[in-house]
Amino acid sequence: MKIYKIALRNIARNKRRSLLSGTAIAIAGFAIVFLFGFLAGMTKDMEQNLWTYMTGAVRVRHSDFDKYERLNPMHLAIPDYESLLETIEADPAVTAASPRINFPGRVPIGGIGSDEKVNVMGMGVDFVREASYQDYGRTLVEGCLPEAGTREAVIGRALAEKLGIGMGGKFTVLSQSGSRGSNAFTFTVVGMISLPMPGLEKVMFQVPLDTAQRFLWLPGQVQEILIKVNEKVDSPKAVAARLGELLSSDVPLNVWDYKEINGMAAMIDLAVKIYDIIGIIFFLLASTVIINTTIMVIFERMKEIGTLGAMGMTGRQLVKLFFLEALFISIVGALVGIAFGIALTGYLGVVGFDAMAKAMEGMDNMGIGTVIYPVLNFKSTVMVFIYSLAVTALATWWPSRRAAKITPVEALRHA
Amino acid sequence: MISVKDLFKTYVAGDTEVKALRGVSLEIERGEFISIAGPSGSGKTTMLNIIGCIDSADSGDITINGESVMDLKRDAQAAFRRDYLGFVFQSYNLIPVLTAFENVAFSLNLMGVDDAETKERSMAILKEVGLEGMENRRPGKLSGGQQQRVAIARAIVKNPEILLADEPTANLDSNTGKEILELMKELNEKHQSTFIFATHDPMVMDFAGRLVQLHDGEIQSDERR
Ligand SMILES: Nc1ncnc2c1ncn2[C@@H]1O[C@H](COP(=O)(O)OP(=O)(O)O)[C@@H](O)[C@H]1O
Ligand SMILES: [Mg+2]
Repeated sequence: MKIYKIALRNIARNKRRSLLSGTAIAIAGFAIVFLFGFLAGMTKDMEQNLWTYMTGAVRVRHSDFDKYERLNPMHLAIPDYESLLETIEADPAVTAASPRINFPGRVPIGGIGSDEKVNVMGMGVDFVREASYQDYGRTLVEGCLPEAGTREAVIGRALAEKLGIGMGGKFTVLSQSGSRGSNAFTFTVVGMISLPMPGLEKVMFQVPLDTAQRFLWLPGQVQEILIKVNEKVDSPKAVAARLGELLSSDVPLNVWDYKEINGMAAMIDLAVKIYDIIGIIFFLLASTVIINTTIMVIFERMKEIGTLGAMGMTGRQLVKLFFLEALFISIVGALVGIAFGIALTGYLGVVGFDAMAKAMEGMDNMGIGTVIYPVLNFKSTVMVFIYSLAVTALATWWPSRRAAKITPVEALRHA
Repeated sequence: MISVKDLFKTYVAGDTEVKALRGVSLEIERGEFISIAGPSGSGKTTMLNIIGCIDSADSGDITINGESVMDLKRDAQAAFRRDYLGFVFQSYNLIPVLTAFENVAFSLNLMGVDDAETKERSMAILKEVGLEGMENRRPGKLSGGQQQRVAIARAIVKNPEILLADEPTANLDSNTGKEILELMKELNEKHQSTFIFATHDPMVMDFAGRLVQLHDGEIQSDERR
């Protein structure tokens, strides 16, 4: 009879209590796997949204633009962007680039002189090129993309609703041009887009780049070039540094990676570390159940401890007996919990998780959408398993040591 | 040979001191069947526990085959108990999750005896104590007398130098108690182990080859028969 076999049989002695201990560990494992998956999904979603609609992985702008961004400095644009694009696209880590012009504007409702105006955000893009940058396959829910040179637009579905127009409808945008004059342009809706962030969908419309250039008096210029990067090849930071060296223009340029631009994105790195600590705390909490059980078990089996001690079992062997019992429960609990965590994360990773839609709505400017698709990460799941075993092993070893401290007489007297 | 010299043991519980042993000395020959008798509280258990290396005396010495066992370190004491001593308790103290066979085999497992030999010796001893066919029962499925037989088998299977039994029949009815004593006597003759048991049961005393009477922690009489 090996000690581990006795430990295994001891698990069955008080099934309900063993089940309770195992369940506590399982719940912790489950919660952590899901939490990590959810966070990974949120991070990925945030990254995708930031990269696609806001900052890119790397962004090239006129270096003074950011300083005066609040004043809408349309004139601080980049000329001759085509040659810059060539350099950018030659970089091995770059997967796509999007030259664009963003322009805030107002749309009067019911006639140009109306006092009731809706704030909008226009985006001029080269739709031929843009199709490889934005996932129109998913976002274009109706109609088609505008033709270059026309006054056609795709418009956020929520914005269309707000403006009370449908497909084929027209809307007039008042904006400030690159020569700091005012301008008005009327666009025809040819497509509806649905965006992951409701706040963005409520303001955004997209028009052909050359039309925007004309409208805003920015011939041959763009406001920014957003760049997507394959992180497996190189980090956005490295690409930004590299392109910063390579790119040159008649105007001074800023080449920044998204973490430099968006403080929240940088915070994610820190948050992940904090979640690691939360993970450990979770398991410590779950461990208190198993610590408690082990203490109770040792107290209840005093007579056996005395008997085994009298038979010549050493303190170390006695500790092993109780430690293994608790460890087996923990291993099974962790495996079951993690399996359930993987199952739920995998399932929600496919169908999406929108239970927090309300809470996420305010997070538009962080790039977090309302529907999160949790992402399973093999490495982090294995880490969770190792964590859970390390923490519970430590937690069960501690009360198990008591078994070695009791002398056989004391133990036998207890009986 | 076991030599007990001048054992003193005082328990302190709060303000009161109980002198459990006050200078007990005893020489025990190999193979003796010796009964430590005396009323409850006279110090029998204390004395047995000290001989059994699971309790310590305040002063005095115990040598077994010329070697002192009083100053052994904890692990060495455990090893000594494992290799040289067998215990039988009043309430059997079998391991409930192990079968009769496994309870017996486990004491050989601890000693590092290989599986084949363990099996052979355990089965043989269970047959000897009259439990053939019940090897795979757990203690819960055995009567008190049968459990005590398993306990005796567990103690004797390793051919210990000394078998210590504290009130081994106290939980059994007199017939079963008598059977157990007859069994112990038989094993004592066959296995050449020294049997020391504590009792306040007159019937047990009758079986003893030597009767040591304890009273208030002192030896009152010591007679061989
Ligand atoms: N752990 C203890 N603490 C205090 N007193 C004890 C303890 N164990 C035994 N005693 C006392 O020591 C005396 C001898 O006890 P014991 O050896 O158990 O006697 P017996 O086995 O002959 O009944 C008794 O008076 C008992 O109350
Ligand atoms: Mg007693």
